[in-house]
Amino acid sequence: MVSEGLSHAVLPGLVTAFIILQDYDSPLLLIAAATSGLLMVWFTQLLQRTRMLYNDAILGIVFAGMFSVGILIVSSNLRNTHFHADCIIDGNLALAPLDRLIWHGVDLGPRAWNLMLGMFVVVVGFISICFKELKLMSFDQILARQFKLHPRFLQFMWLAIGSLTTVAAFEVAGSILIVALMIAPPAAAYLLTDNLARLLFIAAAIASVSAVGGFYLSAGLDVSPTGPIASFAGFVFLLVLAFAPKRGLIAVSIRQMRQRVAVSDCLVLDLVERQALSVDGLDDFAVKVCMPVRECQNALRRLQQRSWIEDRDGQYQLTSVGRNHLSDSLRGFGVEWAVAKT
Amino acid sequence: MDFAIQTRQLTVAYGAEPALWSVDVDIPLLGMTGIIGPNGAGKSTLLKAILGTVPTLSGRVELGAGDSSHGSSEIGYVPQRTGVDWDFPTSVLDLVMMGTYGRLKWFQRPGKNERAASMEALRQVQMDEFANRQIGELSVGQQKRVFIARAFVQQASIYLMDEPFAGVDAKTEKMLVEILHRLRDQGNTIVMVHHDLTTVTRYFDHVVLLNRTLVACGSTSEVFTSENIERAYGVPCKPTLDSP
Repeated sequence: MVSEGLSHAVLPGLVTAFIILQDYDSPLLLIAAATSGLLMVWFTQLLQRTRMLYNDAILGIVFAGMFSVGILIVSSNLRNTHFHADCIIDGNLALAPLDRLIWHGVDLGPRAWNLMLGMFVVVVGFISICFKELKLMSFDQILARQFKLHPRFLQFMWLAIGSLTTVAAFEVAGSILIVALMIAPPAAAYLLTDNLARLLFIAAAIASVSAVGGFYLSAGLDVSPTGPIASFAGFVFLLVLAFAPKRGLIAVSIRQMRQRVAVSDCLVLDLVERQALSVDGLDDFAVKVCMPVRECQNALRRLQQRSWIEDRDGQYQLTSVGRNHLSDSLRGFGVEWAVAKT
Repeated sequence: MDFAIQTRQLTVAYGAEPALWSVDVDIPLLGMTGIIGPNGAGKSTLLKAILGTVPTLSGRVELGAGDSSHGSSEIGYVPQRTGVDWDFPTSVLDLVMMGTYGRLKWFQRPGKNERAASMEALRQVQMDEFANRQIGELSVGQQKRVFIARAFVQQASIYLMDEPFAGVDAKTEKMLVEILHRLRDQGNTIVMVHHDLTTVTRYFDHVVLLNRTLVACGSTSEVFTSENIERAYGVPCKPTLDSP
């Protein structure tokens, strides 16, 4: 949510600086926009400290407010310039290669490419140098302060770099794509790992794949690349949500089903041990123990297949293997072995 | 007598009312000290003031030099359950290793020694088999043990805990108390906010009775009397002197 806020809140700073400077290439533009982003963060924290509003409400108020001020300035003063509401939301990725960075007559490639490369170095450098400090700062401020890691300063730097990255990406990517790429890849990575460092790598990989994949998709569909890249990132997230090996929806429901089966097998085993169950008395048995007949039936079939129970003269009886399994499982559940051996 | 923590004239206010008013406590080195008092008495605030995480209006907090055998007066803080982001992508071992970050230089990563020390700390609290679990997958008692292990690798000699037994069943509480008493017997100072008056005499060597101002402070047998409890809680109350 904060990244969403940042991507919107940089706008008033950006356009105000543009009106004052009337220069599209000035680096001061970036600084003004980043300041605007930081202002949003500061304002948000101020409102959070009052404890009068929910956090999401605060973000909604602050960034929607700042964004609307930005849009207001754009549509009243900058009607015929590069700043246009559509550009701000969608960016203009397709046109980015045409804007070259020329230095002493040498073409150094697209301007945006150079800018983002610079940001990449700054961000990766900052994270790899201060990784352990940043991790502790975001997990445990009290310990970070105790260790004199200056968590407040680090947090400020972290937000400043986040703000600067947003601003740098703003022109080409537009706010929607920034939000998509800042949220979907880390959210997907979070489902795949418990390790923060690995999470960062996976998120970067997913974002890169989404950018490249979405770009070729857009070329194939002959549309602006913003939408396809954002959709691609969303699609990857959905895939991960479904198929992640440990936390994915499918893995979770399979695990829950297996656990349910294992527990109900154990329960039926325990009931068979304690209540007499004749081979043709299943219906009465199910009524007596208040279990659906089908579930009983399935459990009995599985138990017989594993030869944990056997048919002895029309009466189900636990085998010794079955009895061992039951006592092991009950001990595992923390339930004492309470079956009276007859 | 040596003191682990001393406060003088400590006053903390959040709003119109002070949470702590001119509190002088002496928490002795070694032994287990319970901070006891009614709700809103400023018990947690006292811990936070000792840690330096709340602004104080007046007064000072001094940490003792620590006894020479242990050599450090480092505070290990075990947070309340609600103060932790349990969804944070980090494993049990990783969390314990955070306790070593204070010893490492800027830019330096924890290495083999830190990993070994953290595993050893986890073994001390019998949590080594959970080293690779994500921290949110633990039970409340296990979470407490992991944070105690972190304080241990911090080489803390003072352990501060805010209601470590809240939301913990009797069996787990017994286990935690055993771990803490073992730490105490190894020459550490343990200070905790505690709620259950019936266990005070059994758990603590020293007691701080608090109700915004200091009611009494000293060894359990001298301080934990019905008069003092009545003064702290404002209602007549007989201390339960259950035998160990």
